[in-house]
Amino acid sequence: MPWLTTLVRVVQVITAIVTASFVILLFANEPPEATPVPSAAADSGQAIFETRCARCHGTDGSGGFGPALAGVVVEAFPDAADQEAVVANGRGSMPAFADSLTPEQIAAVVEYTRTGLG
Amino acid sequence: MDAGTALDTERAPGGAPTGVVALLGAALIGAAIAVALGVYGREHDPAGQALFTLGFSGTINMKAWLATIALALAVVQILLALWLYGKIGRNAPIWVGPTHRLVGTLTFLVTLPVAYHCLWSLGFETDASNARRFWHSLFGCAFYGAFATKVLCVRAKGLPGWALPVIGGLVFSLLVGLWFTSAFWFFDNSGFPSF
Repeated sequence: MPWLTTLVRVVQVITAIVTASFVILLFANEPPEATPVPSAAADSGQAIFETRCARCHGTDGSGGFGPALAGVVVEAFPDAADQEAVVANGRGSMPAFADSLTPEQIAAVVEYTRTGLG
Repeated sequence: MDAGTALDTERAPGGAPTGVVALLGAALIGAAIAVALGVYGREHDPAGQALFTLGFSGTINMKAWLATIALALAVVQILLALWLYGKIGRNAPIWVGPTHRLVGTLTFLVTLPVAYHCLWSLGFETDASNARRFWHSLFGCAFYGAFATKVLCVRAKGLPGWALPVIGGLVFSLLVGLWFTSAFWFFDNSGFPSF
């Protein structure tokens, strides 16, 4: 079955190229440094979202590495306190923010995701 | 000279059979790859970003589904291997060997986007108290090390008869462990199918 052997070779070459590409990307693809929250806007839920959350959840909350928030987060967390607990303590792949954000900042960013993202 | 006889009697300069030397060499290279991946995951500052999602609603969704596809392919791979070794069915048709290589390559290919996002975006979990992530990190690094060992051993001559089945079984077991500590957990928490 020469066609099957050829197919195996082609797939092996593609796999080798993809593997090499990913290895190069591991070292070459460095994300921009996270911008610290400006002190003047430290309590702004939108500012906190844009600097701490948008990288994973998307700038418009439509999702990315993390799940979408816009339009669905209120249904997922009818009680905002439950959502604040997730932000504070983390869940799954999401890191905890209790050490880097104050409870007031967490409440502000949660409020923004529930009312400001649509 | 008969090839089989040559393989049986061929020895490395130190006196050990060449197959054993090849097996040890492949295992060392595999171990080095596993350690290198772990070191990268530990030292690299997690990007927390997605390079792509391939149409899925999020990167985690994509990873869970690709891992599931890889596991399904690996099950096919195991069945083809059992067929090759005469453990199921009669003599394997001529297409089983190339198909085994094709499915194995595709399995590896499907895992690459998952591994990339694990390493680049999340890193290596060193806190053993977070058992799921800790074991997932270990299984992930060990999987690629074992896979490299398997690929090298396939090309080697004069290996002990048990070597390839054992290493192949190890690769499959690690993939099952990876799936249970990631995709299974994801579907259990987020619901199925969670595209």
